[in-house]
Amino acid sequence: MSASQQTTHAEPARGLMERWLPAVAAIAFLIAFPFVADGYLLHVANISLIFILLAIGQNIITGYTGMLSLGHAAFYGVGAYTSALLTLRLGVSWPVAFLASGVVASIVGMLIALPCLRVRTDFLSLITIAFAQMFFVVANGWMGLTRGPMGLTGIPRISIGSWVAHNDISYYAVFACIVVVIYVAVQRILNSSIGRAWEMVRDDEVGALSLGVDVTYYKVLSFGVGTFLAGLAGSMFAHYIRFLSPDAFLLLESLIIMQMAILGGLASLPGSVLGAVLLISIPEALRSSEPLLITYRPGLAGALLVAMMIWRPQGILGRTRATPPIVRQISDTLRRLVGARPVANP
Amino acid sequence: MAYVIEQLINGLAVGSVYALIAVGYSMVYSILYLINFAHGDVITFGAFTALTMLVIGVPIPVALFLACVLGAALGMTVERIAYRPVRYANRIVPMISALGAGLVIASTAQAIWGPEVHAFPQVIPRWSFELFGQLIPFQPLIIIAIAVVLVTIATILLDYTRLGRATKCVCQDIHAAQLMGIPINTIVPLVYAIGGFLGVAGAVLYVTYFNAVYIQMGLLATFKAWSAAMLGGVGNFHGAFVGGLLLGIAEAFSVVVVGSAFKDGVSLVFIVLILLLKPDGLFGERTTARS
Repeated sequence: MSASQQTTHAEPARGLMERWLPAVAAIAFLIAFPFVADGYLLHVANISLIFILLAIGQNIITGYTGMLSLGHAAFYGVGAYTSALLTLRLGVSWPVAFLASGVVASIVGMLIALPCLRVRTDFLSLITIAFAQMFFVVANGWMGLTRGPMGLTGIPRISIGSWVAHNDISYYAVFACIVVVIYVAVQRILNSSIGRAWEMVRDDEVGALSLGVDVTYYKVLSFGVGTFLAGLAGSMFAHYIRFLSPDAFLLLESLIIMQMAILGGLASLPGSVLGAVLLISIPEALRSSEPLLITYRPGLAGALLVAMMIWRPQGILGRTRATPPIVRQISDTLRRLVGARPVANP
Repeated sequence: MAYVIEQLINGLAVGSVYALIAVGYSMVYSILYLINFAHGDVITFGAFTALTMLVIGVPIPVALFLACVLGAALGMTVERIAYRPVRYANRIVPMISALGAGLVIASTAQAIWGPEVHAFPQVIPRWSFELFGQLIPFQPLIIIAIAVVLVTIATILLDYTRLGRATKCVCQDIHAAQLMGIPINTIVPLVYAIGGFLGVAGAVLYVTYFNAVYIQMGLLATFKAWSAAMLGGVGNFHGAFVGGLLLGIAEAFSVVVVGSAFKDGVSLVFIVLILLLKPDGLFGERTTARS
């Protein structure tokens, strides 16, 4: 959130209590969760944590910098395969492979995006879809490396030194720590001059240029950070599910990640968390009872996207002056619950 | 030599089809700076409708024309519902809305026709004739002819009528055009209608040529059409046509050089090369960034 927005929205001064309460509550919830949840819920939580990273990455690119990337799942896939292959073939330890997967995904992402971001950012959507298709063709066709559609099996569990994550609770602990660290780090970046530059590029590119903001640099940086997070999430996924096949990283998956970022609110970090949790847990809850709903999920999600763009482009947690009072009350309550600040209307 | 000529004709036929589809993207982008992601799904829907009409026995020309009209209507409907309310929002908003609209149309098509690949009846007979000792296939020539006729009609409509001039004004500056009394809420839907009509015509020719129609076709068509449009310069009607032809020929010959598996990669290579070397396209005019 830029400084100007904080002043224009005239937020009441926030006391120490108000400021730290949401964070403390969130941490307390994360710690208490495994004690009350059963195995299945824990699994859903682990998947949600992975997707929270993906949604945050997408939100940095789309919500904060205003670039439409439709290949997030492919960068997630690049990370997953990097990490799996490094540990399987070269015997690299997991923490190294984890960081390497983020770095590789980010480098690939920046190389893909560079020609496009230099001249026509709108076409990033096309380039990223094309990259996703190419990723699928390569992952599916390069039998020697990826074993193609048969998939990679026997990927080792997450291990740090001699400690091995042997059950869902240990995975949960690792994932929760990663997500908390990343969340705080991203929030710091967004509150810094980098975050303000991103939002300026989104809101007025020519204006940003005229004030000496290196627009291309910040766009590429944003894309690099977003894909870095996708790569990390890929590594988490690979060592959690321990089986990789190329069809886990299709365009549909990218669209779901996009929906998470939009549903919770573009340019809202708590929104990304909420969006990821909702879009993972709702289908899980419905899976057994409503097969039709799953079949037509893309169509329903599409209708939701159109409706959100028309009536609520700022997502569930955002708010504008034009918001009807009842919606404002609900969203204010929600915002207070998760400790969000006012959100820019993207 | 015979093989080269055959590939050339095939390439031209496929290229002219890409060009027809590209018009819908190119014109919409030049007016609103919106990548109309729903276009690919609109034309797939149109192709499926043509299939159904042909199966129940509607005469071929009538069925094809009705499918094109449906494409136009669908394009206008999508514009009214999904794009107009968000027309002046941040550019990312209408694009996401377009994605959503595309998903809805694709999902509806899947609900009606199912996810499997359908065979498309031979609308144009597969004859061939001999010319200078050369066997020339008949179908690609008809496809090229239909595309040329349609593009010529569209050109006349856009270059020599009041409506066309109004469209060009809106392309140049939508706000100024509105202030000058041009009814943009008539012109913009019209552009979608032209795009939908030509797009469905292109899609029907495409599925005739490849003899198959399926849901995900829209996505592939999106790419090919975009790279054709960018090759010719986005917003440039004739450029898109030439771009389509070039892409078609390049694809046809890439099959010879690197094999059919990488045929679909050609369009991507074109997009990247154009972005790197000449972002305004081969025939585009220099444009500055708009915010």
